[in-house]
Formats: sequence, C-alpha cells, structure tokens
Amino acid sequence: MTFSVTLRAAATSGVAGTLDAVGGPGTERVFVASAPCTLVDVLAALDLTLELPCGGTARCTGCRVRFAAGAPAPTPPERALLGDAAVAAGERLGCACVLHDTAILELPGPVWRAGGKGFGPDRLDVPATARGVGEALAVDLGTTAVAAARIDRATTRALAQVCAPNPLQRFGADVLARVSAASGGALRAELDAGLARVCAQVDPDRRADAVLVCANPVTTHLLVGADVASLVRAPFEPSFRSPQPFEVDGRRGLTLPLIGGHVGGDAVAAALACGLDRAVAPVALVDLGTNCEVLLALPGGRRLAASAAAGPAFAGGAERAATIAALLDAGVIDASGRLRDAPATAPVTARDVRALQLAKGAIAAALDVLLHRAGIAAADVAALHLCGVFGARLPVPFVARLGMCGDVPPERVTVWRDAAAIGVRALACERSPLERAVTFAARVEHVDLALDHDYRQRFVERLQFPSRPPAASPWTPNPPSRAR
Amino acid sequence: MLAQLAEAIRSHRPESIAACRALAERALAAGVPAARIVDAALIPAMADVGRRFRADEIFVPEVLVSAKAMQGALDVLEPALADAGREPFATIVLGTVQGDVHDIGKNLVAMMLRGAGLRVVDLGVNVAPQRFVAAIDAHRPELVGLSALLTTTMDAMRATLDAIVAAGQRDRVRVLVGGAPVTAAWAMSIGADGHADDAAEAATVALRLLGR
Repeated sequence: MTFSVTLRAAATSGVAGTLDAVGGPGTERVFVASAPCTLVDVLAALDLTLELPCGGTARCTGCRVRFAAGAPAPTPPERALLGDAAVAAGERLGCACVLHDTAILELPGPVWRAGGKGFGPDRLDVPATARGVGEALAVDLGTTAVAAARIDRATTRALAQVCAPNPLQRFGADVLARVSAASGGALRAELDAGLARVCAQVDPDRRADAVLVCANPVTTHLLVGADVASLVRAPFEPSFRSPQPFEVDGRRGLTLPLIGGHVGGDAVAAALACGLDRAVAPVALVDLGTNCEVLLALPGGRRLAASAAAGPAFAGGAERAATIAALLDAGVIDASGRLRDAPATAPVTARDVRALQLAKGAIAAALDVLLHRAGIAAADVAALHLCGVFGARLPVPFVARLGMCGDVPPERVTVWRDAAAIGVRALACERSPLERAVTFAARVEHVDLALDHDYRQRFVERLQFPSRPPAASPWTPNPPSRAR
Repeated sequence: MLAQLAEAIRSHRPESIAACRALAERALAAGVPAARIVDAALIPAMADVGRRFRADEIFVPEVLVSAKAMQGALDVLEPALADAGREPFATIVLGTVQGDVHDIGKNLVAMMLRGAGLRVVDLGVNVAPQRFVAAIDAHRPELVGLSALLTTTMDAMRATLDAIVAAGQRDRVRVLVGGAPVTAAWAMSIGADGHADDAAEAATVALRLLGR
C-alpha cells in the first residue's frame, strides 16, 4: 500500500513563511506512506511538530487541521468538539487523525513549528525516597543539538528548558570532522561557551547546585579537557570511563560514565530512560544519532554494547527512509537495493538507497552480533527501544520494511523521543545522581565490531532489504514518553 | 563454455560459486589454455561486474559473490597458468593505513584488482608505514594502494608516502589512494599518483597507472 500526504500552506497570510522556515524551500511538503499512519507521525517524519495542548487526548481543539481532500472518517470526539458543519468542511483534530489514503492538508500557521529536543513529560517516575533536594541542571549535549533543563529534584519537574544548536556544528556535522577541523582547545572553548549560554538561559539566578551532562565520548573528552587522540583512530579507546568533574562558567559539572570509544554517556542515559538496568526479559536499545549505538540487556544483569557507523544516511530525515520503504513496496526498488526504472522525477537517487543500505546493514548486523554473543534469538527480544535524533523520527512500519532492526518482530519496537534527555533529567533528580549510571555502565561488555569477522559477514548479509513486506501490523503512534 | 563461465561470474547467484570451479575445470579438460580462459572469461566478466557496480545496478553483496566465483575459477587455473609461464602482469601491495581498521572496501578493491589480472599482496588493516616499505622491498610491486575510511586517519596516508620517499622507493612505485573521505585533491596534496572513488574505479585507475 502506498499513498501520499500533502501538507500545504493555508490561504491565510503568513503561513507560507512558517512552512518555509521549518521545511526548506516551497510551501508544500509531500510524505509518501506505505502503511496507515497518524498525522502526528507524518509530521514528526517531516520534522514538524503539532502542538497538542491537551497532550493528544482529543479533549480540546488546539490541534485543529483542515483537509482539502482525503479527510479520514471523523471519530466521535471530533464530531462532538468540532461540530458537524466543521467536520463536513474537512476539519479534524490533528491528534486523532489516522491516515489510510492520499490526502491534502492545509496547515494553520501558528500551530506548526520545527521540532526540537525536549525533556519528556511533566513528572518522572523517580521513587520519592531516591530523590534529592534543591535544583540541578540536566544537559543532553548532543552532536546536533544541546538541550538543557533546570530540574526541581524533589518533584522531578523541569522548571525551565531550552534547546540550541551544538556550537561545534560549524566545524563539521560529526565529531571526527570536528576533531580534524580544529584543535581540542579551540573546540573546548566553543563548547564551554555554548554550554554556559544554555545554562544561563535556564538558570539565570544560579539556583542549581550542579550540572549533569550526558554526551558522546569525544564531546565528553573535549568538555573535561582530555586528549581525544586515542578516540579518533584505532584502537578507539577513551582515556577514561568514569564520570569526570568539570567547570563551566563557575558552575560545577559532572559527566556521565562512558562505555567504550563510541558508546558514551548519552547512550547510558538513553538506556536508563528505557529501563535497560531493570530488564526482566531481553531488551535492546538502538540509539540512532549521528553515530549509532546498540545495547542489549539480559535478565540477570548481563549487558552488551556496540557501535555502528550509521547516522549520516538518516540525516536526510525520516522522509527519505519512508520514501525508500514505499518504493520497496511498489517494487521500484528490489530486495538487493537496485532502483529499477526510476523515473527522472524519483524522489531518491540510487546513491541514497545504497547509503541507507550501508547504514541499516550496520545497525542490523551490530544487533545480530550482540544477540549471537548473548546466545539468544531475535524472537527472544521482549522489547526494542529505538531512539536518538534520527531514530526517534522513524515510524515503526518503515523500520520494519527496511529491516533496520533485523529479525526483531516489529510489534516489539517502540520509538522514543528525547530518551537521553529524559534519562539525564531522571538521574539529576536522584540523591546520588551517578550511582545508577555507574552501576549500569560498569556491567556493560563493550563489543568492538571493527575487527570482528562475524560482524563483517553479517553486515554484508544485512545489506539486503527484507524481500517481502512484513505482515501488516496496525500503526501504533509514539507512546507517551515515560521515564525509567 | 567460456561464455557460460563469464555468465556464471556475472550472475552473482550463490550457486554460481561452485559452478565456476566446475566450468573452469571442464574448460581446462577440453584443452582451452588457462591464459585464454582468464583473458576471455574472467577479466571481461569482472570488468562488467565493476561497470554495473559503478552504475549502482549491483551492490557489495553481489560483487562479493561474483568475486568469490571468479576467485574459485582462478584457483583452478593457477597451476596451469604457472606451468605455462604466465605471470600476473603487475603486482600491487595494498593495505588500510595505520590507525584505521576498515577493510570491506579494501577487500573489494583487492578482488577487483585480481579480477583485472593483477597479483595482490594484501597487508591487511592498521598497517604501519614501515610495513609498506618492507613489503615494497620484499614483493617489488609496480603499485601501492592505500585505504583510509576516516578523516582522522587520512594523515597516515601522508606519513606512509613520506616513509616510501625516505626509503628511496618512490621512483619504483605508483601510489593509488582511496576510501570514503579521500578526494582527488587530497591525493594530489600528499603526492599520490592516483585516486579512486570506489573499488571498480580502483581497477581502472590501476590499469591506467600501469599504462594499459
């Protein structure tokens, strides 16, 4: 099944500008879907966010949209809240729409904005007895974006939060490019200034006692002034793994522990947010950002982690992954990845498909190796959490169609937004903020895939796409974020 | 029979790996000279595989199957080639530079070069400059191939070239570089002789550097 959802600027003034700002040139965005999907997920894939004043529970009309064509059948709450006349005119609640067929939507300007990192729901599920007192800053220092929040530790609430671009972006999109482009000292100075800025924004009065930061290993090394040389060439080993103190703009900071040369505090935070430290059945985590980390937790406390170079192919957004999934279904791309009879107007190039194959092959093969080392099958995995700046935008049916998560049944895959940010926020609330992270990280076996013969073989096998679409599974929208 | 063999290599079906050995054996038994089997079947078939790889018609798994099939036939033919006094027309010493451990791309290059009729001495990954120097002395290659997949390990290419110059070997070899971050401009800046974007191009550039 393939259908398209066209998002078009409404006739009212000012809206075209809004679309331009969030979606690049043009006032129309087209999403090609290969499975029924919620409007919220379509927008997420296009990196747009629909504000949901009532939290997406169909109890207000704040997310009202209008269909110019292809409006789905209205639900009872939509009839009740919008009235029959508005429903007949194509108005719907954005949070309630499930799209099955080609549709054209008109966007009311103010409702739409570019997506940024957040820190999850109002309260987190941190046991009251484990909470500390006072305020703390939690920072997810990502490769692409820096998100900071001031947390009331006793209530777990985020009192203020902000998301800004990583100041090192001008040195390159990934950490290796940045390390090649400038000296460690220069990068550290920029990073410090950027971190000081977001801290000052959420805590101008300096109420917070400490700053807890999760970041990838290279960024963590830069932050504490450590040499990155060992991280950027073989054997890709960090010069420390334990949490390190640092100072930023007169504030005391601590980094999260690292697991390996490519598996850092951000992966630890995401793993804790997804409950890998309390796994009662095998649980996997795929953290797909500019790099990809794969973790596996087994009941009994065994944990494994590996990294796979996979991010850049997904930097083009879920839009492209979705288009490739749809072309696979249509037979325009075959299981080997060959783009056949592509019209000149094909929305992807053969090179895009090959890049995606390399990326998804690396992820699926990394997962295969960890499962093999753990002695379990993909069918034994009770849950697979997909997160990270790119992973969080990928709807599960596309993940399954592309074969990204290997043989793990699609219905066990859950997509998480802001997992690392939520994880570091939860830790910042705890009386001993690093205890859980250190205990978890210390038990993780880091599997180096670079020289692993088994990995290379599986990688080549996993370059293929699944030959048939998986059994149709009902589209499940992102679950509301939870913590721990 | 030669057309059949070429087609089996091109087909990249897993079962063609065994078929190629059998076809090469049959061709030898029928009295076809080994050199002719190489020139009329193996080399053109791999050239076609390389062309289709460059055109994005086939990808790494298909090339690997074709290369394995070609290698199977070559294994069968090698004793006969040696008996007939036919040597590979050139040798390349190949490796991933120090600090880098990526090898799938480098292995593909090795296979395409074998498919083009070269002898390949593969030094593996994380190869120190002095190991390249020692291998040049030991194997007397016409070509040296350096692979790097990370922006942070590209500098080791320059260090390797410097070591080759310092050892007084630079006039004896042509140096070919490649890998995801490696560009023609980079190749020129470190004084390499050639650069290739992918494994198929590596074979054509190697032949050009050899004047063929």
